Amino acid sequence: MTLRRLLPVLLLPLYIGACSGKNAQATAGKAEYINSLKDLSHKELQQRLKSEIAFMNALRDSARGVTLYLSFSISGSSGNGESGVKIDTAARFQLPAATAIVPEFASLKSGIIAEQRYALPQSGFEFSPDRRMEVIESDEISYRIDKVYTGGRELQPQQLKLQRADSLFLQASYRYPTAYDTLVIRKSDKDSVRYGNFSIGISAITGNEATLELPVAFNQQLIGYQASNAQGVLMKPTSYSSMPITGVASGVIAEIDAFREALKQALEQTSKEAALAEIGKIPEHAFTSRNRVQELLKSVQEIDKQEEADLPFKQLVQVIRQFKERYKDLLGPREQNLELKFQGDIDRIYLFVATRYDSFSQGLMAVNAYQQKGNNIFEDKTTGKYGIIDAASNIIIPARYNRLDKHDELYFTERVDTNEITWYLNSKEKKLEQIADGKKVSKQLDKDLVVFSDKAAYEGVLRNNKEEVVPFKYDNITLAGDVLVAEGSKRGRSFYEFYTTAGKKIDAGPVKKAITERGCNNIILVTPGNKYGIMNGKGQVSTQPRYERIEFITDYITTLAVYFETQGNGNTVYGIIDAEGKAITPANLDYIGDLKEDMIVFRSTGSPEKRYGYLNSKGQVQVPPRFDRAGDFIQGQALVSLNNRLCLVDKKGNTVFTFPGDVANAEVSVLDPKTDPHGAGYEINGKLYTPKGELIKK
Amino acid sequence: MQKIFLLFFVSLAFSSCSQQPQYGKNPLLLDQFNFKLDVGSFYKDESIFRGKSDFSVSASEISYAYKDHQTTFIQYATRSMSQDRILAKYGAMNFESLGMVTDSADEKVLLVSAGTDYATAAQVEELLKKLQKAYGQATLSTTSSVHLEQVRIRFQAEGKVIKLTLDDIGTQIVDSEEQAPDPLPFGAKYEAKVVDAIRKKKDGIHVMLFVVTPMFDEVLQEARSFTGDLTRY
Repeated sequence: MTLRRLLPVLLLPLYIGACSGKNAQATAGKAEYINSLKDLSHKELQQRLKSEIAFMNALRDSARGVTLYLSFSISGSSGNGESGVKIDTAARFQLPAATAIVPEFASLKSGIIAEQRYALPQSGFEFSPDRRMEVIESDEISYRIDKVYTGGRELQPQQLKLQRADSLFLQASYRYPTAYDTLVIRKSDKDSVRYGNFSIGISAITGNEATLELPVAFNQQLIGYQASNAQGVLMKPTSYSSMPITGVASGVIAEIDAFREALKQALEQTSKEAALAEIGKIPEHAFTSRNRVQELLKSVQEIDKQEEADLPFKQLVQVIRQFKERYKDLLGPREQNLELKFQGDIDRIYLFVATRYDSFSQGLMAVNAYQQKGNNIFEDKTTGKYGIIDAASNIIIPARYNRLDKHDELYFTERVDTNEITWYLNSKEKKLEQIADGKKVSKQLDKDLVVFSDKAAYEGVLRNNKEEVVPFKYDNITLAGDVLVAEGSKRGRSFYEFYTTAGKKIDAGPVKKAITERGCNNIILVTPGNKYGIMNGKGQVSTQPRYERIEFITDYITTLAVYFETQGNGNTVYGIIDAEGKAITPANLDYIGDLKEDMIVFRSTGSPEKRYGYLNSKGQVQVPPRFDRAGDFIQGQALVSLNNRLCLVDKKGNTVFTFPGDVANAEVSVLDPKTDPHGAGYEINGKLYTPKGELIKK
Repeated sequence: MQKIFLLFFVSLAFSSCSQQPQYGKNPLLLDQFNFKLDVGSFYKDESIFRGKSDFSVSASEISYAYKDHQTTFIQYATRSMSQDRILAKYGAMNFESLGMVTDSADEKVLLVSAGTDYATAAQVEELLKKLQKAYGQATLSTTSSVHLEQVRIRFQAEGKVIKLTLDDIGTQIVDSEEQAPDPLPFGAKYEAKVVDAIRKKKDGIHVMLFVVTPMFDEVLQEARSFTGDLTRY
């Protein structure tokens, strides 16, 4: 891979030899141009016009030769794309039915989420449905903002500026294809195929890969692609990449063409006056475009020289970015580069091209779902620079920075080319201060503590006043309660150390593993000798590491944990401790389930042996072990078997319903409310019951 | 002044002689390996464990029964290999993979395993001769082999066991019908068979050389499951 391929923008060789001719091309504007021709005789004018037409031809060809491959592309993949494996046949391409699209589009009314992008002179918004769309491509819905509401006031969109919008009234539109053509490209086709007025370029069809160059308008109509192998088996692409190719915009090229045609018309005139009159019809803007294209071509020549001179990569990227910025009025999409890969060798490619569309439009309200908490970044779109506003939308830091990202209230990252600079917002002095040593923000732990990583990828924690709370020598740092859990490694093996949020190191002895759970303040500690203990959220080792193993009770991890003990016979038994290490139940249980509806099913090892009962949410025995089998509580009742009968019991263990038949021959299953159309319940001997024991009629 | 220069050169010469092997920096020489390796110095560069280097090493705990107690050991393994990066040597044989087992305190080296996938028949023959010369009579393991075309030749010396494993040599050295005792003396007959087999190999021969303490050899003899390089012991 050459440097050229790595560049975000690639310049193709171009031809601008004709630009160096000594003609009127150096003239700035229309008036000046016509003035320069007035003193010429008709014959001299004709000579000049011939030269001008040749120049305009060269200018046009050179402008068309400028090609920029932008790095932003859409791509996707499915499967591994290896040839020689069994080919999955693709279903024949079909359009989604309007009957499916219409109700889904109507459902947008129930929820559109707006995300505000603070900007000057006008904030922008991104809209998305609050639910997954099954048929509609949600990113193809277009939105027009009609009204904005903020603080109970109605504003026109352009009046909003940096204020936070509460809600917006929108017109949402969706266009979908109702008919399509199939364009077949054969492996044997060379260079290009035509579809109507479009010429579809074929860069390569080799083995299972194809690269096509599509006109922009054609690409907009493209709604799908498939291929078939020599046996006619249809294949979906296993991967695709669609990359826009930018060049001098077709509108600019058309303007130069029109300029050239006007010069030709002038040349055909029989008098000087008539010729000048034809030239006078050329719009003023065409002169501007012509001059700008000349400037652009000179810049391209300079970049080409710099590239040949092996300019450092970063500098070259910067030069090209500046080029794009400088000529953004001339540049526009020209073609789409489509790369497709299939599972097997390609014989034919099928491009599905929409020929007819239908569309819907409806007015709806969108809610700005994101509360403006604290500081935010904003962009000044007139300069492309970023600044910071406070919660009341007052500008704290004017827009003077390159792209800024917010990581936390006071830490921001600025991207400059491929570099990142981390800034700290000094709120008092209203200025950004650079964080030294190339430290980057990793994550925010709470409103006051932020994890950074240094150049060697070691993590540490800084407070919101830049004070170091945890030194930079760890691989991962998390927060549990008021304890900073720092995972480090020595010779490839993890160790854990702990700090208070005030930055004081907690002595917990050697710990090789620390288990934390989201929403839980307690930390399970594992020593190098494989003993388990608990550190509470205040940093106290509340349960000294002495247990064989400890696990959090699922769904109730905040206060209770299960501990394990192996008996002399090798069997493992379980007990329950609280976070302080106090044994709630001794290790005499054979099984402990998850907490469901504040009850935990358990099985005893003691007397009576192997019987089930229930613990409450404090880990205390609520229903003593007496059941032969027992399930989780559902809607206040649990299915148990007792004395060869299936029963429902309440949370005190009282039988509230007895199912017909005995247990011996019963076939029982618990219905999964997420997947079963009947919801929660039981299926017993082919009959469905609610959790309360009511028979469900099928 | 002359004295100062002399001292300088002497100290320079001394320091170059006592150069400590370091993973990835200096190959570990196995010819006279005696387990007196400072593990901390050898794996001094933390970047090799953190994916910040061309080298990549993993370390994990393994557990085996030893004298009726379940004992933890530390196993190091090379995860990124290249012929350009020689990690260990025995004579002229270069190894691009290097593993190690240490005690639970991660202080004492109990096993070193050096591997290559690119050995030639001539190199293997030379290695075999060197081992025979250094450690004398060897035995051939005939049981517990995962692959029938794997050869495991064991040398016993004072304070260490050396095991040479050759994988996929294309021939079964000990016939499965043969009622061979285990271990079997690695005599001329089997040596000739091995040499004949490796000479027929067209691609690189997979070689693994273990240098093991008698204590850890005992542990591995009793072990029921293996991981990484130890699967070839």
